[in-house]
Amino acid sequence: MTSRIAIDPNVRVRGNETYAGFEDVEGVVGVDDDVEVWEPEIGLTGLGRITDIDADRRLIYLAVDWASLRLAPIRQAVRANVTVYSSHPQVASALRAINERHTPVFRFRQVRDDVPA
Amino acid sequence: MASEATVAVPANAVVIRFRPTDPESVLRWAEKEHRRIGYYRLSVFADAPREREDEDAVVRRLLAVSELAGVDPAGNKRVFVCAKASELLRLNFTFHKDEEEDELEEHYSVDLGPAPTVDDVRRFLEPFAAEGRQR
Repeated sequence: MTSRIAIDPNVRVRGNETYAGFEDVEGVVGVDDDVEVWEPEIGLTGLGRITDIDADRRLIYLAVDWASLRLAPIRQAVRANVTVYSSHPQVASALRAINERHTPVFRFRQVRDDVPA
Repeated sequence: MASEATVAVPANAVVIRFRPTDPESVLRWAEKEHRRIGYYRLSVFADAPREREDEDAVVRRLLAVSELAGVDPAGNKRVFVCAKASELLRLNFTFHKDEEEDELEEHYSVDLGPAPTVDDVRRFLEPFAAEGRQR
C-alpha cells in the first residue's frame, strides 16, 4: 500500500521540493519511494517521491508533482439517495456550505412555488 | 541557508497562501521550519504587479509559479487566500529568502518571531481573512 504524507503546499525548498515531518507520515517510507501527498484541511491529494531523509531533524524531503494535486472527492462508504424537504433557509444554507467545501453532493430542486431551491 | 536578513517586499505586492489556514496547523508548520533552519517562518508566494497588471493577474501568475493553478479551476473551494504585503508589513512581519540559489523568485518566508504562539499565527493570518478574497 502506498504510504501517505501530509504536506504544506506553500513550503518550497531545494528549488521546488517540499518537506514534512516524521509525524506527517502514514506508513513506512524510504528514499526514492513514491508516496501520496495530501493537504488534510481541504483534501488536496497528489503524487510525490521522497528525495532525502534528515533523521536528526526528523524531516522528510519530497519532490512533488504539484500539477497532479487535486481536490479529492468525498469518499462514500454507502451510496444512498436521500430527499430532504425543508422550507427552512438554514437547511439549504448548510447543504450549500457542504457543496462549497467538497465535491458537490447535494442537488437542489424547487418543489413549491413559495420556497426557493 | 536561511539568515536573519530581511528582504524588501513592495507594499503593493500581492501575497497568497494555500491551505492550511487553521492557526494550530499553521503553527505546527512554523515549528517544523524551526527544526529545519532555526527560525519560525511560514511560506508564502508574493510579487508586485507588473506594468499594466492588476491584482487578479498577479494572483494568476503566482498560481502558475506555484504550479497549483489547476487544483480548482472553478475557484470555489477556497484553496488559497490573499493578502496585501502592506498589511503584513504594518503588523511588523518581515519577509525572508532562503538564500538557496534555486529558490523560486516569488517564494518568501515570513518570520513569526521567537517562540510564536497560536495568537501570533492568528495575527499573521488576519490580513488574509480581512482581504476577503476566497478563491
